[in-house]
Amino acid sequence: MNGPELSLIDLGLAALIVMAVAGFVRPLSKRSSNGLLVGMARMSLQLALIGLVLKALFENITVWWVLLVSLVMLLAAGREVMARQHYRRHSLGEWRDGLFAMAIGSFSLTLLALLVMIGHEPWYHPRFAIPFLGMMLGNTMTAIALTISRILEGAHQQRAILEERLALGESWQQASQGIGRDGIRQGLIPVINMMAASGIVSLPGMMTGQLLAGADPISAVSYQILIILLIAAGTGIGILVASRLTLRQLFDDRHRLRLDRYTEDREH
Amino acid sequence: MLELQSLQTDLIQAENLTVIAGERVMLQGPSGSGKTHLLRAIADLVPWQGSMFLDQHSSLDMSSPEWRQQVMLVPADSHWWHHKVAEHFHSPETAPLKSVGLSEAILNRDPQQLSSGEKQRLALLRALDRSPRVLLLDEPCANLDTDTTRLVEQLLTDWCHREQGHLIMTSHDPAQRDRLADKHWRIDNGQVLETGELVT
Repeated sequence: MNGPELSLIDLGLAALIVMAVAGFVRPLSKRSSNGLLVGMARMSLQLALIGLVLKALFENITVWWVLLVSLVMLLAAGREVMARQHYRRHSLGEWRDGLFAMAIGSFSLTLLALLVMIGHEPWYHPRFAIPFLGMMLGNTMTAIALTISRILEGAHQQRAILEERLALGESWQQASQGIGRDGIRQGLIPVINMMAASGIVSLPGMMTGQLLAGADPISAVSYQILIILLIAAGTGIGILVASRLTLRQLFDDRHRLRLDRYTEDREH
Repeated sequence: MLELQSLQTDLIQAENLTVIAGERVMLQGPSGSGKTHLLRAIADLVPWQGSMFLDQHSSLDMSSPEWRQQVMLVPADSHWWHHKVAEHFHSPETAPLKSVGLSEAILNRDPQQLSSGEKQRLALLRALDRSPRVLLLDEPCANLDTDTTRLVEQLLTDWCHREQGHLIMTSHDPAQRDRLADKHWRIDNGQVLETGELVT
């Protein structure tokens, strides 16, 4: 069952409204206005590309192509997590941590969904694998970026407290408990808010898309619940991994706080 | 005995320096000469090269937290992270508050509401509460009046004698250095040297 097709004119109309909003924002913040326009152009191009990629994938279903696209998505998410940070280490380790946390949080739960819950044959069919992974990556990416950024900001703001706790003989794990807790809390806020508002204030994106495309509401709801539960679990796992790795990197093997390894990115 | 052998950081270097049990060392040098940095290096809070031994046990044979539990730095400005003073102590009931002019009621107060002088004395007691062997004190009396300064000096002297503690401290007050010092270290152009007499 399909809903009414959208024409380019329909999309163009929506784009015009965004441009008008950018125009209104411009006198207040030129940067934000440019951000809106660049974001719109980027989003349209990226979605058009993934549309083409999905079309090609649907016509040629192999696990390797799905895996390759997944890897590209993961790398893009990793770049996005790092680009959102105010304090950077500009090292391979920094990338590795974010990527590893996202891979654990999103790939594991996506695999679980595909193999156990959806059970489609073949399990890697791109119709399921790519949208699921996209949802998981998108949400874990935001959560992990928030967690890492809160921890790094906390470490810089509370530098004196961290050093004093170390001086009193605490290990880095003990000394950094407070900033770790803040980071995890910060990262979980979006998914907790999403669960609280789902169905009452907002209809989540995937469900909206399914309903617009003409799906049965009950089926759309059960998919949506599954997705949100997986997102909650995936972001939780990703955040725990990311916070642990980020905290570890703040200290060296002799439990010394090493903020000298970080530089401040003034653009954020 | 605390021994520093060819201790070197990116700012300072010290050939061979020792502090025996019960000894009080006054560290001096102009502002910016690296006194705080040296104390931080001895506490293993900044990267360093060379060797440090406490009673012939190398710092590298133990974890840094183990080293710092014995060789404890009290910085010039103290910081507090719990809501009550008492929560920062392992055994608040045994803290010798009266000996530095504080009352027991202070244990239930919020550290953010204390004066800098109160915080400074509490930071010293918080370190003693963890039973270190070596105390590294950065200007421990900077915010105190004369009477309270004398109380703190007496506490430190008693601690050195009774516990056979090792004390290394900085002070901007020549008279205080004179009163307390068993030995002087001076930092000149990044070199830490033991000096026989008081240099002002």
